[in-house]
Amino acid sequence: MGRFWTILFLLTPILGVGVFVLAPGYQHWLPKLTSVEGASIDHLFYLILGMTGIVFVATELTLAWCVFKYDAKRRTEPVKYTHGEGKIELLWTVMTGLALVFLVLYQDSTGAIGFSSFIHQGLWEKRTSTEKPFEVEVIGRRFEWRTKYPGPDGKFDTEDDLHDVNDLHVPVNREVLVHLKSQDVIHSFFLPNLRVKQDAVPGMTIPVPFTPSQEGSFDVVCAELCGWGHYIMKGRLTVQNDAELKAFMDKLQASQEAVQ
Amino acid sequence: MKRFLRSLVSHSGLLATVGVALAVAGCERTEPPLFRLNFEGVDRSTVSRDVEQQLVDVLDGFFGQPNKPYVVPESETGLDLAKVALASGPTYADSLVVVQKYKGEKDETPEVRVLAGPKLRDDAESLVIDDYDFGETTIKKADVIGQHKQAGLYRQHCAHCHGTTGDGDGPTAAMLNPYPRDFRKGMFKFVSGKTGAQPTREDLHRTLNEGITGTAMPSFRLLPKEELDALVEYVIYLSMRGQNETFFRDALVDDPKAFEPQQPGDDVFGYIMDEGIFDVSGWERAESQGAITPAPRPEMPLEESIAKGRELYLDKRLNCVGCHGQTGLGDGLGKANYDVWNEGKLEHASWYTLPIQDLPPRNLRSGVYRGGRRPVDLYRRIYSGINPSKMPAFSAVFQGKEHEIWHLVDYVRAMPFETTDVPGAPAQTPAPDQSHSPEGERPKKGG
Repeated sequence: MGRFWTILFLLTPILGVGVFVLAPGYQHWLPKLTSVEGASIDHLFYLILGMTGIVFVATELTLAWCVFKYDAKRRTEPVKYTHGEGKIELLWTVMTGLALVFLVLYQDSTGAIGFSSFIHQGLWEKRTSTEKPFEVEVIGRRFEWRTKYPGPDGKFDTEDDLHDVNDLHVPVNREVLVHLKSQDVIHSFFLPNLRVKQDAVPGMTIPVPFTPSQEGSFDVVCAELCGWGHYIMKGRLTVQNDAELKAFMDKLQASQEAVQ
Repeated sequence: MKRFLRSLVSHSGLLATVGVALAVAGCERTEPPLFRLNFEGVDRSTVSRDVEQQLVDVLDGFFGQPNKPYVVPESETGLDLAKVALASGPTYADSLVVVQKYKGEKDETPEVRVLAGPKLRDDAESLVIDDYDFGETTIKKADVIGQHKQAGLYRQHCAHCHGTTGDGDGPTAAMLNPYPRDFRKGMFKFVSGKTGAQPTREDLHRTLNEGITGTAMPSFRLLPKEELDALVEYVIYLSMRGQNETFFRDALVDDPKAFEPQQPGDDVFGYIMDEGIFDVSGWERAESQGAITPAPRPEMPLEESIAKGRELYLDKRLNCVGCHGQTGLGDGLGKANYDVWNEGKLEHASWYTLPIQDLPPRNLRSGVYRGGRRPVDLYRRIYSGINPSKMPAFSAVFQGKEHEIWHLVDYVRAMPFETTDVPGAPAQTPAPDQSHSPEGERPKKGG
């Protein structure tokens, strides 16, 4: 009996680690990374995965060892009662606390997450580059993403703003600054490939900077349940070179000025 | 190990019970939904059961039911049944929405075209279809032509607001302002044709692609083209059904025996067609006439055109200010106003589940244009009006000088950027930020 339970408990860390080893081969892993800032998010992910992985395996092995060692069949001495082990408890509490403090300090140093009310806002505030980013306003609305480009004059809320829906076009290898808004409820602007996820909060304009590193078409999804149509609240992010982007903007402007 | 297996066996009864319970819960069958009858404006207590049944039967014959849509081929509705089938039926259903096509006479082996339903399994020998004429029928797989698509698009994307019947009374409708469109009147706000025209397929596509800002209608742009085609077709199907339901109902309420055969062998279908009770001509006209052609846009600097537009806006004869207000804030109207759908229910408001909603004139300064922000969209709204709402058509007023509508369009587009300090006075802010970026100017007017 004791042996069976030991094997069963041992299977948990083996299968658990096995799933993570096999998953990337079966395409059940992070989507392809296509932004510059995303690398530090991935780095943090792997770091935390490693730390929790080690603790997970160690805990499960200890459990299996205990099941094996204290099997009632082979242990005949009476049960001992204990009121806890103060030193050990203190040790593992402090260790866990230190690990968390390390993560907080470390993630700030990687620049992935700032000490700010919003992750991406923190990034924007700590930015050192003075180059003007490509700006676009994204407005979450049940159940679509409305986009607004500043148009030729480079300013929002003027007559030449360009409006579109569910179709976000940005340049490649240039910093993009999304001014994120919501018209009704809380949405979450999620670009899985670019490792960007930010809540859109009604009444706030939240800066979301990122730098796409690859051309292509990627998903924009809502990651906050916002109502019945949450599933349809998806858009398309198209990362283009400057010439293609200009062609798109010209086309958008032409269709917006259509008189026939 | 043995003991573990024994304990598993002793609990197998419990496990089996849970398994059976899950299986039963998953297989619960519900009655297929039916189209709801429309008795708007008619006291239902005066309509006899017999008349109701006749109405159901006739409508069923012409249009079928949500799970089994049908279009009488001879009725020349122009509807593509393959598209209608793709949009109808339950979402992810395991029953098939089906239409059969026959090669030759009915007693020959039918050539079956399954229009929509779940994917046909590779190992399936035969197919059980829910046929309109014959009920449940088993067909050999070899006789089935082509692979069909997943059905139920309308119920997946639209029905929770617009309702299974297309009556704008879906479960979420009560939370929305304005209410979702009731397709049954055959009236649509954003059309490209003449005043009162029905929308073309392109108009409906535009609404699905762009959504309607300022309302709860989202954009469905990322759906594949064939799915959008199917939804457009289904909206027209529901609308045709709703309109003809009213025609049939009125004929029956006038004369309960209207559809009864005078002599044995008389054909009710032929009677309805011959008498012209069945009518889908509006939809044919919309497609054949297409969009109105706007007058050529006058060559003129934008500022000048906006100034002219402002004059027209404040003009007593056009009376834009009567509804939209002196400053365009939509505050010109002192009394409640209703669109066609709500107005029809005013008399017996208590009969309806949704409270009557009033219709405020549009705030022209919000920068939200429900029917589209392109100049041509605004031109159409002014030229043809918005038929189901209180926005009148100005085509008669501008008869012979249609190009002046463009001034009004320019002014309406400039309004969100105009100051409201002095109502009706020329704008005090001539776009200061354009001076240092020459490419920032709007394209010059023309054509």
